[in-house]
Amino acid sequence: MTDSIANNELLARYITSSRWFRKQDQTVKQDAFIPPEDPLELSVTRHVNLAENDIWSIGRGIARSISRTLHSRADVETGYVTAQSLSVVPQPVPDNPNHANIVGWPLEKDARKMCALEIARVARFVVNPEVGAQTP
Amino acid sequence: MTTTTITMPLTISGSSSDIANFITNQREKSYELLQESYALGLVAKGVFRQLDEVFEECFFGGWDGANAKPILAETLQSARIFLKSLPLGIEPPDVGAEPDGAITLEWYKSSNKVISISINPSGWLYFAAIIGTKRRHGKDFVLLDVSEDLLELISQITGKAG
Repeated sequence: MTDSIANNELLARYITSSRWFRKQDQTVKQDAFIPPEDPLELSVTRHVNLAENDIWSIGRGIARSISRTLHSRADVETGYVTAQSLSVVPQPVPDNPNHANIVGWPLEKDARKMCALEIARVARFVVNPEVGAQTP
Repeated sequence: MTTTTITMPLTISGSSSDIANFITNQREKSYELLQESYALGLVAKGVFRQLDEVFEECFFGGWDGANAKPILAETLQSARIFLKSLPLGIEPPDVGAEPDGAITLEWYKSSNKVISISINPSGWLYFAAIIGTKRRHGKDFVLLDVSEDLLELISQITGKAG
């Protein structure tokens, strides 16, 4: 596994809350890309070396751990993240060797929201095939 | 159809007289009745119900499958205060939650017309907006009246005067 992440590498943010996407047009809200405060790191999963089923399998494991539904995921190219002056750092964990963290967030909350809004704007909403289309 | 927005902020009179208290109470009751009107009120449009649902979904730590902070009762109360201070007739926002324990209120028309407001546990609200080529972000204090600047941004998204 390479430690450097190419700009065109895809990152997946798993959507386990129905509040994180808009049913009317299947787009992702910035809520999904706001990091917790301590630490200021946002968990994502790198697509690299993973088949589509593997990407979903990791997400289902996360959703199962909190008894939630894996509604979908939001895919975004690393380049759009680094364009917000953020960095993507590989951080493998036992259940997810492709885990990474988006770091370098601004200290001011409103500036973090602006970054999240820009990332969500370009993210691609991918419905969990086991759940189906999420229409209003 | 013309939409009229009525601004009716809740204020504390500061007077201890019985008459002043009576007037304040009556004004609050009238405001609550208007809030229940489908044409005017966020209550009837289900926004406060959405708030309660989000709180139920996110009151425990790790609700996102990672290390999300729980939404606190104080944050829920701050969000209620903020919503009550919005002008009657305003388009209802969509309610959400962020992993840092904030409640979000979003007005959205398209990827180029969106504003998201976070009500944080600290009592501060933070907003970020994309309006065409414009980018705006900043903060306000929840317990003060909603600023004209913020209302103007919301109206630019919804297309209706606030």
